[in-house]
Amino acid sequence: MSIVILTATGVLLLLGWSVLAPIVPVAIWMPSLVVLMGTHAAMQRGALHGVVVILVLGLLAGLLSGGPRGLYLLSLAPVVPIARFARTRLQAESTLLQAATIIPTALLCELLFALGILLFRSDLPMLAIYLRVVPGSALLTGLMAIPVVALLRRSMPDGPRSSVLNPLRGT
Amino acid sequence: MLASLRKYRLALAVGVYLLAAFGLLLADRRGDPYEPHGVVGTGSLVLASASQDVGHRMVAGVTTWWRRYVDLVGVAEENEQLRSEVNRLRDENARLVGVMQENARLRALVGFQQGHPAYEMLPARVTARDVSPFFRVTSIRIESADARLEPGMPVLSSAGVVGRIQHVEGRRATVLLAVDPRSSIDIVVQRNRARGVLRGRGYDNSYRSEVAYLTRREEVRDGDIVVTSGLGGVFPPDLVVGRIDRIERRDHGLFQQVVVEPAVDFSRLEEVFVLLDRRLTP
Repeated sequence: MSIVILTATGVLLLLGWSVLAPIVPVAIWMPSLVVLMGTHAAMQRGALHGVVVILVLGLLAGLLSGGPRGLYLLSLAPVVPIARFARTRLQAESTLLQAATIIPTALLCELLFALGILLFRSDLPMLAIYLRVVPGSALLTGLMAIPVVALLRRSMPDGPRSSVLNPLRGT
Repeated sequence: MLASLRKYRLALAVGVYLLAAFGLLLADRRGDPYEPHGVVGTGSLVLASASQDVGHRMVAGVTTWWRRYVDLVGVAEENEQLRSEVNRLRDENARLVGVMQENARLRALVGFQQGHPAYEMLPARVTARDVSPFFRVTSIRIESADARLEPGMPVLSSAGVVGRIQHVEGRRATVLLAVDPRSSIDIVVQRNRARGVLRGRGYDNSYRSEVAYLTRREEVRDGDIVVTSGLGGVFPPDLVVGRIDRIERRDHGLFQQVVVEPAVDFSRLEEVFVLLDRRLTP
């Protein structure tokens, strides 16, 4: 059930941001909400949740942006492995650590997407724009992650997986 | 079967993910950005667009409401500024109207002075009016420190005779108006040179005078102009005093009673002349 709620929340966030973006003064930076939601789902609920969220939100984001959807989906591939690595190996659990994980993940995914554009589309002007936008967008994604992740964690308490991974939780 | 699906669901999800990604990548490789989406893509877009439309309407409603609120705050401030501006302009307008009226009065005084070049006149400003219903006295003040005022000096305005100086205190003086019952000015009716003495009536609350000692044989009419005769050595001749307003002829007695409306509007008197050089008067 949580997978459906997470995905639906991600879709709403994506649609809401697409409506709010024109009136929010963040210049040309756009937060990667797919990375945000995918990373949170993978860290908080497990890899399956992360993959499903990435797949659905990635397809929707690709549709809404009108860009190359396949390339976009492929560029999001590192999200789940990074999230699981941060959670299991680095014990990154808190909201701030999730946000801190999201920033480099978003940076990597955006760079992969830019690289893919260069390799598959040979679209140099577009590549220059992406490279200019990538750092700010990654940072904005991390900043947005703090309230979003905090809200999600408050409304959806951790499942059994996190309790097992972090036996000290709640003590 | 269900157990196997549950066991390999992560692998299955990853497989679907990779299949979708590479499938779409191959489709993208054709490079036609205008290629129509499939049924799923089109359906998703329709749903997403509808959701975005609803969201846009909500956001637009909120932003419009907010902008109107902010505008309203701005309008209130602007209204306050405009109100104070209007008050300032009203004050300025009243001041300018006063200046214009004063200018017109001074222009008339200058014209009067130029029309009587033989007389040496000193301008003075009316500073106070009488408070008694019986006596007609007003106070004046001259600006010049050199000139000396003396009791008995004639006081004129551009419209005509005002009265005579009664008391002097430095640059201030009280003027006994021509409409005071204690005032008497030797006059003639301009049309037929009939002589009489102008005295203030004083017994009613109005600025009126009457001509005394005008014999019944003299034919005067309503509207006749009354001017100074020049006799008595105070006022120069032919200064306008007023016009005849009412004539009462009696069957007995030597004189007729004539009421004169003064040429000067004493209730609006603000600037006057004091006639300094009495030697010029005949």
